[in-house]
Amino acid sequence: MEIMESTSLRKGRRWMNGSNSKSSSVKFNKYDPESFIKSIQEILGNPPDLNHHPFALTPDRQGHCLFINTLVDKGKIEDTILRFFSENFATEDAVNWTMNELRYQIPISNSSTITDLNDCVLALMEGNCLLLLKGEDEILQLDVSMQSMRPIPKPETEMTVRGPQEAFNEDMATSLSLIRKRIKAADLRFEQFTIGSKTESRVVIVYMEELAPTEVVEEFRRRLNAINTDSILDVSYVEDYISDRTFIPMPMMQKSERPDVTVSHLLEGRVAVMVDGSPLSLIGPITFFQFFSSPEDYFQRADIATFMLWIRFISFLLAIFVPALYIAVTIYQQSLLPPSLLISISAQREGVPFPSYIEAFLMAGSFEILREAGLRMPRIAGQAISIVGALVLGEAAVQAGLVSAAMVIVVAVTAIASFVAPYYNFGLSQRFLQYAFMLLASFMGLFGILCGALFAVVHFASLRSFTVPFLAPIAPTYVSDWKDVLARRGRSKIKTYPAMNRTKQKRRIP
Amino acid sequence: MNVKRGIWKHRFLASVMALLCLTGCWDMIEVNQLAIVNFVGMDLNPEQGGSTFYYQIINPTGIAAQKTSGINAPVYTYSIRTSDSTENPSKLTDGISKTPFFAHYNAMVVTERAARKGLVDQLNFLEKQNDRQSTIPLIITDSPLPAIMRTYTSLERLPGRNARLIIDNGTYQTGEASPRSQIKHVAENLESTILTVLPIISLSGEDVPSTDTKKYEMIDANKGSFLLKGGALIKQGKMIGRLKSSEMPYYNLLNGQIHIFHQSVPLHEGHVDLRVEDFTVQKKLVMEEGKAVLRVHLKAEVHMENNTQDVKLDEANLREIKSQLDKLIREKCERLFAKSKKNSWDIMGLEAMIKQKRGQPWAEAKRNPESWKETQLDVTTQFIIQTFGNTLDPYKTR
Amino acid sequence: MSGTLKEHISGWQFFLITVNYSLGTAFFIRPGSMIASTKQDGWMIPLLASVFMLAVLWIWLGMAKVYPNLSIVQLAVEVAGKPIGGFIALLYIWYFIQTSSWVTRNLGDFMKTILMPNTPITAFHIMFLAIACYAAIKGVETIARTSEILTPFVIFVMLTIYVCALKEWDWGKLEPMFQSSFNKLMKDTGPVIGFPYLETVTIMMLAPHVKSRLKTALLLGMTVTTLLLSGIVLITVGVLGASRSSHQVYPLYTIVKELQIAEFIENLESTIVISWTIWIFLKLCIAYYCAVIGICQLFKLKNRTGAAIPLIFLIAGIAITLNDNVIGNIAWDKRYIFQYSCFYGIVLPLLLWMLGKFKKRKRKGPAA
Repeated sequence: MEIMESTSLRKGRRWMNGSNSKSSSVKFNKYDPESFIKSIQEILGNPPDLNHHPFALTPDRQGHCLFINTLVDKGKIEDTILRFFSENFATEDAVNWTMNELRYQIPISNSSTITDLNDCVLALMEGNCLLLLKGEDEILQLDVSMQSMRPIPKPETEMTVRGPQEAFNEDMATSLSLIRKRIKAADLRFEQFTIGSKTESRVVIVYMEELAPTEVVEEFRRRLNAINTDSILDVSYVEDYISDRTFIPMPMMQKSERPDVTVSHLLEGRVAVMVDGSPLSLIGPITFFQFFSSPEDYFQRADIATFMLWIRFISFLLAIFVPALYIAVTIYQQSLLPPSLLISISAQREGVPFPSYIEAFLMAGSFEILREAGLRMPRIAGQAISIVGALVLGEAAVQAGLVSAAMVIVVAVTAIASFVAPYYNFGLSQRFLQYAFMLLASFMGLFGILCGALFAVVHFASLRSFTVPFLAPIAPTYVSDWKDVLARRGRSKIKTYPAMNRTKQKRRIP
Repeated sequence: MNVKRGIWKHRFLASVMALLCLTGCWDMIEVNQLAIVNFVGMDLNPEQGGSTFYYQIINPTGIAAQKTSGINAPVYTYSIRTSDSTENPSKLTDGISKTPFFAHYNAMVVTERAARKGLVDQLNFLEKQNDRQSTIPLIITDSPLPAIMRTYTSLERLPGRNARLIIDNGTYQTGEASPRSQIKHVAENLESTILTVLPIISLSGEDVPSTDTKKYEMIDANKGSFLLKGGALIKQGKMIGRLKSSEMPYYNLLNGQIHIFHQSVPLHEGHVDLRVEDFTVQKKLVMEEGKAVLRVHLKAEVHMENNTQDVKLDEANLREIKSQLDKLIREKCERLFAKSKKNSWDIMGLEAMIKQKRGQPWAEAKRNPESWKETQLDVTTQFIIQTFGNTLDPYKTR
Repeated sequence: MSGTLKEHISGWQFFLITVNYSLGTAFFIRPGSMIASTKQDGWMIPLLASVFMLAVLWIWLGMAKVYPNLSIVQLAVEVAGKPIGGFIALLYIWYFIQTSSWVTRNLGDFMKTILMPNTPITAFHIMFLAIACYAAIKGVETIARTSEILTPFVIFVMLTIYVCALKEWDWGKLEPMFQSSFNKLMKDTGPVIGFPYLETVTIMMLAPHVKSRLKTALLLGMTVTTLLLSGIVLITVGVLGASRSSHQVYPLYTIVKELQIAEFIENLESTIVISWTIWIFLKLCIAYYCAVIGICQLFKLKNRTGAAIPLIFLIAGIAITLNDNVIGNIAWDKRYIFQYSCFYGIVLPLLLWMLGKFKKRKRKGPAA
């Protein structure tokens, strides 16, 4: 009930947000447009780009055209609105035109009438042009906003060899059009929220009415409505507010820059959130095992995709456990090493000044610095970094006897394995886990790693992402979903929607 | 307020946990602080009593890929004396600067005189240790132990591993060592009357140990290296006799532990060398006309390795070879069995077999622990000659 | 009271919980003592015990059916009144706590013997209990899901290892079989009925959460337990020999330690350490949760956290004072475990069942 109420209040809330000043109920006075314009200018602080262009319908019917020239398409104003007035100046019709009639006469598709001051300010900020006529009750707003279509970029962080090469861009309209282009079904829903008292950002949730379970959609609405902030600049801001809380830093929602990925999630009954100005969609509910599937999987043969999927599982385990196991095995449970390996590690460590765990943290830490430097550096300097990294960290450190060669190999294996993660933010969590396990291993050896792993499993088992258990479909078991998560099967074999999402329809083909 | 207190409590608990984690560091030891034991030797002190234990400890830089030129010693031997017949590794730390690490030792060698005195105490000690593997071979030596323990071996530079590989060769290439010669096998049979046969290794040459790394520069590898020399019969942890190298394959054969063995069959003024493989051995103890008979049925594949007969290889000749082989094997088995009966070595574990029998006919035999000696051996064979090598018939110069 | 019932577990999850709880520690501790007492015939003991358990399960299910929405603790208070029922409930809570301490101690002993001999045993206890406590706070669904994700892993590792161990299998070691008389078998079965079978009464605390197939899950769980236990005794005898395995504290550990798959795949004992630790953990979680939920239900606490955290220290304390070492454990096991478990596993459930039936009939009486 509570949720229903808040959704119906949404419209109202939007205007309330814009009006954190005391003059919330200033209405347009039809006999004194000048003072109204003045108060608009006051609210906006009289900016240089606020244009005020007077015009006249007949010599005694004066009007005002207001717009912010950095947001509007000037051509449209000049070619359409001002020309319309000059062509119809003092014609017989023009004498009696009311605001509503004008609205239908001016050839601009998106228009409406408003009266409230705050609405007017908002309309200006959205790139609308306001027409005020002396003696008319209402103000006409005309959409003349600049359509700055950015070209559709290529995906940068979720690269695939095959498959579509389109990504969302910062323009919401373009991004939504990319989704629309892929789903022709009528039950595709866009619901708009405006969040942020300062930024007034448009946030849209996208879902399939006939698939997405009502309770999940309402959970999204509830959490979005609960956001109370001044600014939303990126989809990550929204994520921070609405995703489920975890103790271990693990993404509980998926971010994707690919429309095809977003659409495939929508078509499995999930919900996506888009924010104007952010080239990413935020998808939920998500489960742990989905972080291993890459869009690439769907463009390959199913069996090959399964192989790749397992490579990713294994490299996840490698990235997390290899350095920890190395520490545990070299300083606590040496008997687990094969004899010849034990001898050669022992020989390598002869003369290394640090204990193994310090060595490990040293190497892993310097690798992190390298990686961070590589990200921030201008691309041209990247080469220098790689030379320094390879030579100093690899060759020279071993030659100088600072670290053992085995440690370098361990760090290298870990680093490579950690890049396999198909989702960037999941890769980051992986690094955190790696260090946590290294710490546990240096204090308690194998037992520490085990305790850490058990804690992680219990923690993950206790999590839910938007009411869906995080470890589904393994725990709780949904055997029918395994064909898409543990091993891919061909598209033709997947006849049902994922049962863990509790979609409204169960079968893909009715 | 309440929430704040809760957080404080959680933080307190978390720090207690972290502190507890730190106690794990009491077990911490770096790899290079370990003295990796590779080979352990045990001997009795005939005069003062007690025993002497020898430990070969690996020098990792001597073994691992050589960075520096020249040859380093791969192992160093330490010896300690104990007042009783079990090990006391804690005494080892009096003399060495690292922590003894036993998990990966390759073999344990015991002198014949110690073995004849009995190894039960030492075996019990070994079985109790969590850090020792009981899957390593237990070796008996008839050479002086200091010499064995102070010999550098060529090719495989870890002497313990060297001994182990020699025994493996004996098991899988010639049948001269029993595959059931590990510490765990001796322990298994400690409480029964079944015998374990441990390999005997001695030092070749004039018992001169090769005590320095100059050994690696010498071409003659025969001097002072390990040699497999038959088997020692162990009953309940005590050595009771020994089998010769040539008898070992037949012992393994009768017990169904054989992987391979070689047999030369004299025939037609020449001889045929055969390699017998892929054995299936069926043993059955039956009572026939009041007498216990052990039926052993052998089934194996035969491969021809050499042939110097002056007749052509044909079906009749093959039959001859087979029957000759059958005769030879039966003869040798009988001979070994007779010898064992004479010396009261129950090499087939007959006493234990009789004990497990049920029913009236066995009641008498069960009462008398010596009754196994009356058992007769009946060996039957079934061979298939499979391959002949590159040539069928030998070249003839006449 | 209704707050705790919101959590549901499926029949499959309850099945896994049953298997994990009954096998968790017994799988490693039991074979040694069974072989020590009954030698080559040890594998028959679980089978005999399971026949006995059929009758016990009938009692448990009967008890659960009287008030399907109440756990044992709530049932005791409901049917026997506040003072007596409360006392019975307290007895049960003590039993759960004691079981948790046993389990914890088992882990500590194992870790200290095998992995880290110099670390104080309490360090293992507290760390492990803390995680179990976290799981207990998170609730039965979390525990169920945890066991769902970990059990297949454990079973897989176990099976792989024991299939590999069959390389060392020797039929001769199984002889002589069928030597023990029926009386001796019955006598040796006693402790096994006590632990692990009767101890499983603990999971009846979770029965109200199970919405479907309670009976199937319980019966199937017990069957699997019996088969695995019997199988592992058979394998242990066949691989290690009766004589040797009766001397070992952890015969299964020895099997794995001596396993050589290829020349370089030795020292596989770590895998067994890992899988046993996981199994112990699952059992501990369940026992711990039952203790916590029992306390909450008896004293009508709303928040599990408050009851769960102090229990860490209580259980850790009991775990080190319970027995000085394994020997004390074995002696207790031989002498008292059957009688002790019978009290909780048969006497009390039967009493509660009867009282419950009586009370229901009395209530129905005037109405009809």
